[in-house]
Amino acid sequence: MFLFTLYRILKFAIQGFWRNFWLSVVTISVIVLALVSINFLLILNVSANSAVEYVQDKIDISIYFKNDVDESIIIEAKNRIETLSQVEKIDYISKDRAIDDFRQKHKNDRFILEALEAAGENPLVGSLKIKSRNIDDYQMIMYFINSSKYDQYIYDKNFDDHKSFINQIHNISKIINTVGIIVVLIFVIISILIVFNTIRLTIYAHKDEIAVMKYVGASNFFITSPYFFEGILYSIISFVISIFIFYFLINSIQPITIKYFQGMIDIKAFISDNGLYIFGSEFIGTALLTVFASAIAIRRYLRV
Amino acid sequence: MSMIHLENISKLYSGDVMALDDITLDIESGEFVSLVGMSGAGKTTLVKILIAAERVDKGKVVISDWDITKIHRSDIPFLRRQIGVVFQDYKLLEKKTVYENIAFALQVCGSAPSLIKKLVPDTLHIVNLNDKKNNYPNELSGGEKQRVAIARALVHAPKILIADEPTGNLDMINSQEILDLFLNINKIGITVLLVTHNKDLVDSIKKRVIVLENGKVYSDKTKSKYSL
Repeated sequence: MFLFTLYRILKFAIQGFWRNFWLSVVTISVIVLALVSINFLLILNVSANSAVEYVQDKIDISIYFKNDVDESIIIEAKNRIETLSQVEKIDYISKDRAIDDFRQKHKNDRFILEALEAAGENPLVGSLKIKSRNIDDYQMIMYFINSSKYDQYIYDKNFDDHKSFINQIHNISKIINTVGIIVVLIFVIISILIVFNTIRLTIYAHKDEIAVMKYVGASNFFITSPYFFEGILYSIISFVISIFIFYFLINSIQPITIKYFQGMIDIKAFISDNGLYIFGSEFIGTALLTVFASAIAIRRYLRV
Repeated sequence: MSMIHLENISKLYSGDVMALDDITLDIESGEFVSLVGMSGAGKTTLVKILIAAERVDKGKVVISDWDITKIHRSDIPFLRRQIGVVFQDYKLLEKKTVYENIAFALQVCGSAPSLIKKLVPDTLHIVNLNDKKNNYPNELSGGEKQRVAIARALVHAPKILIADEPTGNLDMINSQEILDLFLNINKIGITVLLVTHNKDLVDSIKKRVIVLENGKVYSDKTKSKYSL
C-alpha cells in the first residue's frame, strides 16, 4: 500500500511540475543562479587563499653573520631563536654550504666561477634562514634579533616584507566575500519567494482535486507530500544543471589560472578533493530551502 | 444501534451567530432521514460537524460508536472514509473521465490497482453508468454527473451517505431518479442523510424528516412530510 501511495505522490508531484512548466523553468533558473553564484564565490575564495599561502611560503628572514664570527656563536643564536614560539623553522647555512650552493647555482656561468677562484678563500658568510608560523610574527622575530646580544655579530639582515601585498589580497578577498554573500543571500531569498509562489500557484491549480481528496478521506500526508516532492524535484534539477554549468566554467577557467598563477591555484584539484562535501552540502541546503518554502506555502494555502 | 448520536451540540460562529443550539439527535443504522429547513437553519453546519469539517463548541458527537467530538486531525481521513458525501455542485474533476473520477477516490487513499479495477466497475453498475465510464463530466447531464458523485461517495463502502442538496441543480425527473438511487442505496443497509429544500422530494419519501429552524430541532417525525 505504501508503494502505491509513494508512486501516486511522485506522479502528482511530476504532474504539478509539468502543468506549470514555465513557472517551473523560472523557479529552477533562480535556484541555479543562486547555486552558481555560491560556487563562483567559493572559487574566488579558494583562489585568494591559495595566492596568500603561495606568497606566505616565499617569505623568510635571512640573517648574515660577520665573516669572523665563530660557528659556535651562530649555532648558539640558532638554538636561541629556535626557542621562540613564533618560529616555525630555522636553517643554518654554513659558509661551506653557502659556497656549494652558490657554485651549484652558477655552474654554467664561467666568469663568476673564475672570479670566485680568484678570490681565494670563501668570501661567503654563515647565515640563518628563518620562517615564522604566521605572517605577523616576522616583526616580532626581527625585534628579538635586533635587541639580542647576537645583533653585534650580524652583518646584514634581509627581510622581504610582502605584508602589504598579502594585506591587499586579504582585503580583496574580504570585499569579494562580503559582496558575494550579499549576492548569494539575495538569490536565496528570491529562490525561497519563487519556490513559495510556484507551490502556491500549483496548490491553486489543484484546488478542486485537493477538495475532493479531503472529502473522500485522503490522508494529510498524501495531500501535502506531492508539493514537498515538487519542491525537491526543483532542487534536484537545479542542482544537476548547476553542476554542469560549474564544470563548464571550471574547464574554461582552469587553463587560465594554471598559466597565470604558475600552477599555484588548481581549482580542479580542490574540487576533486572537496567536491563530495561541497556539492553534498549544496544539495542538502537546496533541498531544505525548497522544502522550507513549500512548507510555508502548504501551511498558508493548504488547509488540511 | 445509533449510527449518528448528537448530544446537546451547539455551534457558535464569530459575530454571535448561533448556527446550532443544543441539538440532540439519534439516527439509527440503516435509517433514511431527510434533514430540512430554511437557509441559515443550520443544516450545512450539521453536515460539516458530521464530517469533522467543523467542531462543536458544546456537546458530544458520536459516529458509529466513535466519539469524534475532539477528533485528532490525523484521524479525520479515516472518519471520512466511513462517510460518503455528495454535494449540489458535484465536485467532479473535469479533466478526468467518469471511471477516473471514481478511481481517484480510491487512489488517494492508497488502494491497490487490482482493488480499484474491481470496485470501480461494481460501483458504476450500482449507479447505472457503465456505458459512460469513458466520458468526461462535461459530456454528461446533471443527473449523470450527480450519479458519478454518488458512485465516488459509495466506492469506499461507507456506513453513512450524506447528500447536501443533491438535487439543487436538477429538474424534477432527474431529482426523482437520484432519490430512487438513494433509496436503493439505503436498502443495502447504508444510512442516508438527505439534506434538501425540495419539498416534493421529501414528501414523496415518507420516511423520517427532521426540521431545523434557527439552529434548533423544530420537529422530528417518522414518515413525515416537509412542513414548517
